[in-house]
Amino acid sequence: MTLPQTTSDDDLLRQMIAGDEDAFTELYRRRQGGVYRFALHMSGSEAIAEDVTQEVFIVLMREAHNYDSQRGSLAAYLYGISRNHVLRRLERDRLFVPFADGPQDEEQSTPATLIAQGDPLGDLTRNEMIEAVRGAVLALPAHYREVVVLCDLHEMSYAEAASVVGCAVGTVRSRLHRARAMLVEKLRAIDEGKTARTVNPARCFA
Amino acid sequence: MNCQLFETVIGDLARAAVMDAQSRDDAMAHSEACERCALRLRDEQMLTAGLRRVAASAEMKEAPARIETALHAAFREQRSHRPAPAINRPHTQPHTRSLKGWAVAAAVILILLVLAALRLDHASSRPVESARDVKPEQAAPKQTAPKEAAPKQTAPAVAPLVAGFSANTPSNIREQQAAGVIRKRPSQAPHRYTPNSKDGSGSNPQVSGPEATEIATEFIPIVHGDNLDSMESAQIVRVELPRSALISFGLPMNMERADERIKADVVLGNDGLARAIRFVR
Repeated sequence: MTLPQTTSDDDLLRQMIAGDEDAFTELYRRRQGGVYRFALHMSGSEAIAEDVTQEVFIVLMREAHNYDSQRGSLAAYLYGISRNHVLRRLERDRLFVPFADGPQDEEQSTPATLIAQGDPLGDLTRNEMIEAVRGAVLALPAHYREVVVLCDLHEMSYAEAASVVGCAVGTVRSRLHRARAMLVEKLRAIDEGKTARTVNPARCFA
Repeated sequence: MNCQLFETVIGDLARAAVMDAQSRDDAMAHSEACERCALRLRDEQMLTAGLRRVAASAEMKEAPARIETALHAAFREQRSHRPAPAINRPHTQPHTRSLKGWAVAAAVILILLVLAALRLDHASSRPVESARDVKPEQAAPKQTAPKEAAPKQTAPAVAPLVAGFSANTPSNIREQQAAGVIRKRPSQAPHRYTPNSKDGSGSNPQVSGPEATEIATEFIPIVHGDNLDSMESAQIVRVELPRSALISFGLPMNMERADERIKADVVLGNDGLARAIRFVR
């Protein structure tokens, strides 16, 4: 997934601190995708993901001296900043906007709704499997959602995820186990609901 | 392996994560023997497949180009306002500057203590000199040295401290505080409080303002090295102390009047602790 890197993140950061704009550009282009997608998976909102991405790199510009390579990789450091900003933003907005892949998704134009206590089946049954899983992830409580996003969607190791979240590896493992059990339960319920529902003949001809 | 142990490894198994080979074999053997655990494993594997599809669907998503443009502008602006910091610049190592400040403060205090000891030694052998107050117009140029010990001393930083003064504070205190609350170094016309002064000399500066009859020393920090200018607000309390307190602060005292009391103004911080004191006559 990542291209071969001739200059390490730490070296690019040192050059960036010294005022090298090209180093900043390289560093940004190398890491912005991961930061953006993490914020997107956590929030379900492209707008939030864009804001968070910008904020993360602004923070990096201003507080680069706070990064300590002994405590973890720069990628984990950036994810940690992103996590804090996303959680703060979600807490502030209490917003959940499911994003869609294609224009045929009717949810794209619907206003943001809080998906947790409402009727997730009503929203999710109209989506493909990807949307079902994505929606289930977004419906998780934040501390469960983040470990699923980090470990399953971003394929981080337990240690890396623990560095981002700021907890022990064992905590990450137990939260991930519990989060996945919740997802399975939710998806099974969706699957059972689909099986019990009468097939819409219109969809057969779609 | 039992169902309980199987549950602890099912996530790694379904995600094909790195795990102990023996544990993997045991878990797989158990799933073949236990229908419930087999169903659990199937659900976990389906979930993993779904999550990987979600990840793959977003793999190409990234921040729009305008974000990079905005960040470049911010980077250039930041670079133009601040020279590119090297790793060892003082502001990237705040503890270095604070250490230097502490060292200077310690040196100033040591000099003051030595001079106070010398004053005590001479106090009984020569007439006490008159107390002098700081004229506002004289304060500023003579306060340069103490500022080295408190590099953040600026008028705006001191102003809130001034605002917290009690109503009966002589008006020229504001000028004194603006100039710096740390005592002057002895080489710069030291202020010495002399309780016995019956000075009629016109050379003694008098406190201006409503309490023109009072003469006071500068504020002496009680906690060595304390930077009073960093205080956002403070309160001044008028107290009476035994004259022997003068010795505690390195000031000369007439031993014949040791039993008498002396007025003092004590600066209290927001935490209620005494931060500075000056003696008043």
